[in-house]
Order: sequence, then structure tokens, then C-alpha cells
Amino acid sequence: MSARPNEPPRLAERLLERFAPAGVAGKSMLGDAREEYLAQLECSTRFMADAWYWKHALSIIVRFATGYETRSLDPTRGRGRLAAAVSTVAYDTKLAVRALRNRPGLTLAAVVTLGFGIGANTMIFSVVDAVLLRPLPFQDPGRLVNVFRIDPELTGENPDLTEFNSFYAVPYPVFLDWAELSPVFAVAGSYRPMNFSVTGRDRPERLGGIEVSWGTLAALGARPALGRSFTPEDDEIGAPRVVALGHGTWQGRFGSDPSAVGRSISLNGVAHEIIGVMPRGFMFGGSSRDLWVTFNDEFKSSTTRNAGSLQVIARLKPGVSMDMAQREMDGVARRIGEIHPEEQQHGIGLIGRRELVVASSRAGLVALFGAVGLVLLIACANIANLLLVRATERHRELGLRQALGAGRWRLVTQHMTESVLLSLIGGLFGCGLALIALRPFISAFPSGLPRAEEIAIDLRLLSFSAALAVVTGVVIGILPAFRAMRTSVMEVLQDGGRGGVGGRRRSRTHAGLIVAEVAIAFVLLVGAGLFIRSLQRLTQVDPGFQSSELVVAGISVPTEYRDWGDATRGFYGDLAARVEAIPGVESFAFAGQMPFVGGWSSPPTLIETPDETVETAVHRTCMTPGYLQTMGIPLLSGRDFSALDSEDAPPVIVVNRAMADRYWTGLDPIGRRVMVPVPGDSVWRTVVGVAENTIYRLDFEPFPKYWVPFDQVPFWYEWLIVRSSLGADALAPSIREAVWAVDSDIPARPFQLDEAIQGSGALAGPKFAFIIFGCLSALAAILATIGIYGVLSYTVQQRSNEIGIRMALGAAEAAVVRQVLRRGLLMAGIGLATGLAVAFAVSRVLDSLLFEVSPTDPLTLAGVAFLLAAAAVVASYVPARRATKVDPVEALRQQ
Amino acid sequence: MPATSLGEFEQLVLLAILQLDDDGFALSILRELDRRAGRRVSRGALYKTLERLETKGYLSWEVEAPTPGRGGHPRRRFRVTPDGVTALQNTRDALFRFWSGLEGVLGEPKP
Repeated sequence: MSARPNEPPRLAERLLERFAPAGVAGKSMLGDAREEYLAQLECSTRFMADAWYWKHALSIIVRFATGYETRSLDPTRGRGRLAAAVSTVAYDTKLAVRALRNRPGLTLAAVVTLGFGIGANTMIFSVVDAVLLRPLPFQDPGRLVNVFRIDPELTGENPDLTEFNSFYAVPYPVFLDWAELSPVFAVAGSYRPMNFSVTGRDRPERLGGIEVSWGTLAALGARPALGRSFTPEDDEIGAPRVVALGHGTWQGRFGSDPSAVGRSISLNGVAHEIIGVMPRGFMFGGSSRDLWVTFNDEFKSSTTRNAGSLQVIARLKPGVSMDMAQREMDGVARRIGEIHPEEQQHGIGLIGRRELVVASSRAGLVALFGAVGLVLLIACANIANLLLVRATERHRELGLRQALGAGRWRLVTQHMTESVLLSLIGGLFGCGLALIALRPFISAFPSGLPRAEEIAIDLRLLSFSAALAVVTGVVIGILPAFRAMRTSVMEVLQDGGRGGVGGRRRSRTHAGLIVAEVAIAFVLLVGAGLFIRSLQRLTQVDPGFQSSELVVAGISVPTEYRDWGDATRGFYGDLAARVEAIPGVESFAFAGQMPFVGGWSSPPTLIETPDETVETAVHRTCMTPGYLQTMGIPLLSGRDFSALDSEDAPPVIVVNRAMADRYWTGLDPIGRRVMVPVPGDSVWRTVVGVAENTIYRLDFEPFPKYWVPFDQVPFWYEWLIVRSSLGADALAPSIREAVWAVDSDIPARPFQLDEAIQGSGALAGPKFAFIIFGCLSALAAILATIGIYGVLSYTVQQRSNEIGIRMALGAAEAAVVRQVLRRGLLMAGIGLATGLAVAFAVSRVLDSLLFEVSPTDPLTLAGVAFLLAAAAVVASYVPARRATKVDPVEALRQQ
Repeated sequence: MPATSLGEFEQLVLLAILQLDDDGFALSILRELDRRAGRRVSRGALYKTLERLETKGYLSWEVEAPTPGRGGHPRRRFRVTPDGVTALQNTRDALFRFWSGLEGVLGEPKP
């Protein structure tokens, strides 16, 4: 609060000075306020006294600055135009509060309905805003680009760089060329995610890190919070290995001790000097990264230009546009092609960092935002209908007020004030809901939502919902308001409150709103239906192996065993013997890659076909002899590997069906040959078997791949796969024991493969979409049904006289029911037809989110139409039955 | 003087000033309203009413030298003008005519 001793809050006093009347009158008010402020200070706290001062200063300001009169309800008595406007609003608000209070049921229904609508929109907007709209949390993020290598043969001329594709990965020497030759990069860095075993404490720990060249942090414009950043010297061959810790790692492993900088930490068995600690909350690529590590010497000295593993990020020089950068980089690609002829076919592709990060989730979020927007629209239509009914009930009152001299625009603004007030209250309620639901909602989001950590409810968001509430208020108020404006005194006097010209026009408006509601509900239900069908298709996908009863664990070989020869083989041999001894293990194997879980490597490959030798990139991984059997992958022809396929035996491979079909169409692939033209690897390997396709993700097509025997090409990161009916929980301790018996520094966390598949991105996305769309469309359908019911009930009530007379004249009950039903079904029918047209037009938005289901899937469309029609029948039947209960005598008496 | 009627709150304010005699300062008026009528009103409402009564010619005020603790700001002492007294009388007479003879319904006034 104020720092001045015994002085009232400065701002409040200034305001009072500014708005109190001029001259002695105003001065004396200031004096009075001060005097009493001192008295307040003596008997209460400073805070209370300040609050007192504010309260009374505001009471004076409100009276004198706005012309708001204590006793007067006449808004025109203020001084000046602004004052008149302010007091009009104050007056209308007062009337609106009174009107809403008089109808608590209607008010509650409207506030709750609008609250849910606005709350859902606020929540989704918070996600859309953080993910799609806000700039990335880096310095000058518009200049950040990702750079990929494009091989037209593998990826096409103009590939979609936002789709993950390992073929874009960049080899280190190529990255160095780019960084050196590019005239448009201020600074460029390369990186790849890498897990590290951190040892030196009681239990080994596996941390998710990232290997970087020095320019990565520089390009991002990020600096460690503690210590130094990477420098070009760190990338020199022979430079000491250094690491920057993620903030969490620093807290967790070093207890936030600043002296950690300068100490040494063992990563994969190699000592690294800690040079810095990243700022709290610093994220890159959707993860906070436990460790930032420089590349090792072996990697930095590699000269291979045809197998890459890196991503490249660069900061463009100021003033360089994407087009200009792309043109310059095309030139760089040509120059590299001149120096290295084998690279002539390679191009360079640039994509804005932000585009890359958000592209994958854009379609989903836009669909989601559209869906909640539609739900709000339905809610608006329902409330508008309620208010219309109410406006009709106040028909006479309005006519009377006009007769007494109220201007039409005054009646309109008064209606608007009421509806805006209503939706502001709804908005407040909705913000509360959003506040409560936001965190659970975000955590329910399938993993892979980029920038989730940036989502928060803040002033920007609150402004959005306030604006939304005002717009909603205008939307729901506009029809009743203009109804009010059109009210003519004569009409009121003649109409007697029902029927007449206005009556017909009214019912047409009601019906129009219902048609719109049904149409929107139809579109949303179609969305939900399509996601169910997608999910159904996905769960029916055959992965190509028997995933049940498989327990897997990733095993990383410690450095001392990494000679890619006897030491590595010895390590796995030792481990194999121990795993075999675990009770309950039916079979087991090692493999370099695990569908749905990890491992992805596609080296350049030469393939002998009958006509020529094709050079391409094919997925390759190694496996031990029991792999196919353990996984339950059928062998189609030839043989599986055996213990005889040792290091010294002739090099052999097993290919999958997709590879056999692509390169040896209609031929027997057994005996064909394949080679990876990389030093130390370039031997021809002969196909000895063909296995069934397996898929990598549920929504991926099987692609060509082949296996090499582990003994011939051992790798240092392998998956241990165990088939057992015991389950991961029961097996985990013994598997861990077995691993630690070989080397106690190796982390191992066995899990059930089935669970990983169920939780995988391919299923999680549609599941989440289905739940959200399901809830939203159910809400929409319920609202639309209530709408139909409400309008028909109202019509029946309005026409009870007419119905009563008809029944008195001998109309059968069935005829009355038919009449009401016909009206309900007509509205629903027109709504469905409109919805169908709209669904055809907009469902394309969903196309990228669906799996093997057309956005205009006839089964879904028909099912949804049937569902809504059934709801419409039920909603119409109740008022129709009520119509037959009209007592003709009562109706005639009222006449 | 036109026969302008006085609102209830206006009457209370004028009567409070008369009761206070020489002590018709804004803060005293507020305290008096609270003490005698149990009315707690905001500063804004009181000042606005004082202003209105002044415009109608029922009130006048004179400036008093500032006391300590007012930040050098002056004090206004309010007095009811003869017109104000007349207005009060008129209002009272009119009300009395309506009140009289209703003791059977309303009971005797409490002191």
C-alpha cells in the first residue's frame, strides 16, 4: 500500500481531486476524507483504512463524475452526453438485474447453458492460443528455421516437411558445410535427442538428453542461467566433453547447488564437465531436456555423407525472408553438389520453426475449436428462443411503454443490456469452470501436444472470454430486441397477445433457430461418429505380430563393451544366459528396433534387382535368432537366423514381405543381395528368409525393412523381448536382477508391449478426439432436443385455444397429435438436410485426423441422422400428447 | 418559493443540520444521520444531496479555517436558509394533515 505515513492512498486521492467538484466544495470533500482517514487509522489497520478511503472516494467519484443521481431513475437528468450514456447503462443494468431476478428459473437455465458454452470455448482457446497463436518462447522466434536435407528420390520433390520422416536427417559433415557456406544463417546448430545412463550414484539412472553442436543454444537465443554456454571450441575434435544440466536435473541430482558447475558427471561411463545450468522451465522440442551434451570425437570425425541422424536449426540474419533464405540455400546445395558429386541429387528444405512445431496439432485444434464454437452457437440459439418467448410475454408491457413515450431504441438497448448481462454472468461462471477443468483437460491430452507447458489462464484469456460473453449476449439478444422494436402499439391492442401477424412471424423465427440447432448438432455428431469409426478401424489393425504376453526393456550397453565386436557380443551373451534362467520366460530375443516403441535407422543401401542395382535407404535392424518366434512374426519362406550365422559365417539377412514385393516383385527373393556402402559395413549380404510385415505405428503402412543377425552387426542399444504369461510386473524384478548381475550401472525398466501400443500416439489421438467430440456432440444433441421440445411446448400452449376449439368441433386426438408431430419432424427434417449439406462441406477438415474412414462415410451419416430423428420424435411427442389434454370447455371459456 | 416537496433523505439532512446547530460539518451530519435515523450513507450520496439542496436554495455554507489533519483543505459549515426552514415546515404540515386521525390504525408515535 501507500508508503506515506498517515497519508491516504495516493492514487485514490488523485482521482478524488480530479473528479470532485471544482472550488471550495471539492477541496472541503478532500479535507473531510483526510480527516476521517486519520480517525480510521487510529482504530483499525492501515489496510482497512486504505480500503475505507477507496470506498468513499469512489462513492464520490461515481456521483460527481458520471452524473449518477441518488434518487432519480430518469437517465436523462445527468450532465453531458457521456454522463447521460453512463447513467443510461446504469439504469438499464438496474432494470435488467430486476428482470433477471424476477425470473430465477430462466436466468439459472440461461446462465448454466451459456456458462458451459463459454467455459468450453475459453478452455479450448487457452490451448489454441498457447499452441497456435503465441510466438515461440525464444528470442525473436520468427527468425528460427529448421533445415532438412531433401532427397527427391526418397521424399519427392516438394515433401511436406512437417511430416516426420527420418530421410530428412542430416549427416554431420553436411551440417558443417551448410553452416559454413550459408550466407543467410546468423548462426546454425545441429542436434539429436539422446538418452544417457548417468552413473556414479547408488542406482543408475536413465536421463533424456540432447546432443548438440555449439550453435543450437546460440540459434535459440538461449543462455544457461548459471555458468557458460557452449562455444565453437567445444565442437573441436579433442575438446573436453562438456554438459549443460537441465534445471530439473540440477535440482534433483545436485540439490540446486551452484558449485555443481565445474564438477564432473559420468554419462554413459564417460566423464563430462558441467559448464552450466539451463534456466528453469526452458524447453526445446516439447521437452525440458535433462542434459545438453556436445557430440563425441568419433561422431565429429565421421566423414560419411550418406547417413544422417541430425536435425538442424538456424537463426536467419535480420531482414532475410523465408523465400530469400530458400533461394540462397538452393544455391548452397548446388555448390555442395559440385564439391561432392554424390550429393548432387540432394536439396535443402527450410521450414519455420513454429510451423514445424505446431503443424501436427493444427488440424486437431482447429476442429476442436470449431466444435466448441458450434456448441456455443446451439446454446445461443436455445437461449435466444427462451428470450424470444419472454419478449413475447412482455409484448403488452412493451407496447404500453411505447404508448407512454419510450423510444424504440431505448427498448432495444434495454433488451440488449439484459441479454449481455445474462451472458456476462454466464461467462463468469464459465471462466470458473474453465479454471477448474483446464489442468485435468491438458493432462488428458494425448502426449505430443506441443507447448502444453505454456498453457495458462491469464489476462489475455479472460479478455477473450469477456469479449466472447459480450458477443454472445448480443447474439442471443438481437432477435428479442428487434422483436421489441417492431412492437407497435396498435398491434398490441388488436392482437390481444396471441395469434395475428406477429404470431406467425414469431413461430417462423423459433422454427428457424431450431433448424439451425439440429443442423449444427448433426455436424458435431457426424464428427463424433467418424472418430468412433476411426478408432474401430485402428483397433482392428493387425500389427503383424502377437503383441500380447510380450514384455520388453531397452538395454543400453556401457561404453566398455562398445567395441561392436567380442566385448559387445560377450555382454549380450552373458545377459542372455541369465534371462534364459528366469522362471516363466517362454522365449526371448534381442533386437535393435521395437515396433511402436523405438529404434529407427535407415542407412543408404544398395539392392540387387534383376535389372540393376538400386541405391536407396531401407530400414535395417539386427535381431538374435529367437526374435521372429518370440514376436510371433510368421516366416513366409526361407529360414530364420540360427546360431550358425556368426561373425565369421557368410553375411545373411531376412527381409520383410514389403521389401520383397517392392524390389523383387513376383520373384523369389531368396539368394538376392543387399549392401550398405559405408566403410566397415560394405559387404554383400544374402537374403535367406522372408518374414511377414510388421507395422511401426497403427496408422503407418508397413514399409520395406530387413534384419541382420546380431552376431554379424551388433548394436549398442538393444531391446530385450521376453514372451511370458507372467506379465511385466511379475517379471520386472528378475529381469532387472539379470541386467544388474551383468553390470550394475545399466538402467532397465521392463514394460508390457500391449500397454505401450494402447497408449501410443496412433490410438491416443483418435481416442481423445472421440471423447471430446463425443461429449460435445452429445451436449449439442441434448440442447437441440430440448430446443425442439421447448418450441413445440410453447406452440401448443399458444394454440391451446385453437386446439381446444378444434377438439370441441370433433377433431380426433390422433389428428391433433399428428399436427404437432408433423411440425416437430418438419423442423428436424429441414435441420438434418441442412446439416448434411454442411457436413459434406466441412468434414474435409477432419480428413487428416481420420484413419481409413471417409469424412462422408455413409454409415456414419445415416446413423447420426437416424439418432437425431429419433430424438426429434421423442421431443415432439410429449407436447403433442399434452395438446390432446387441452380441455375444450376451458379453452372456450378463455375465449 | 415554489412548492417544491422535499424527499425523505433531503428532510433528514436538513433536520440533521438544524439539530447540529453550529456544528453543521459534513462529517457531523453523517454521524447525526447514523445516530438519530440509523442511516449509514456513502459520502457521495451525502455530498450530492447537499449540492442539490444548495441549488434549491435551502442550504448555504461558509468556509472555516482548516483544522490539523486535513492536509490544508478547508471545512464547510452548512446552515439551513429561511427558504429551507419554510420548505421543512410545508412538508411537515402536509405530512401532519395526512398523519392526523390515523392513530387508531398506526398507533401512537414512539419517541
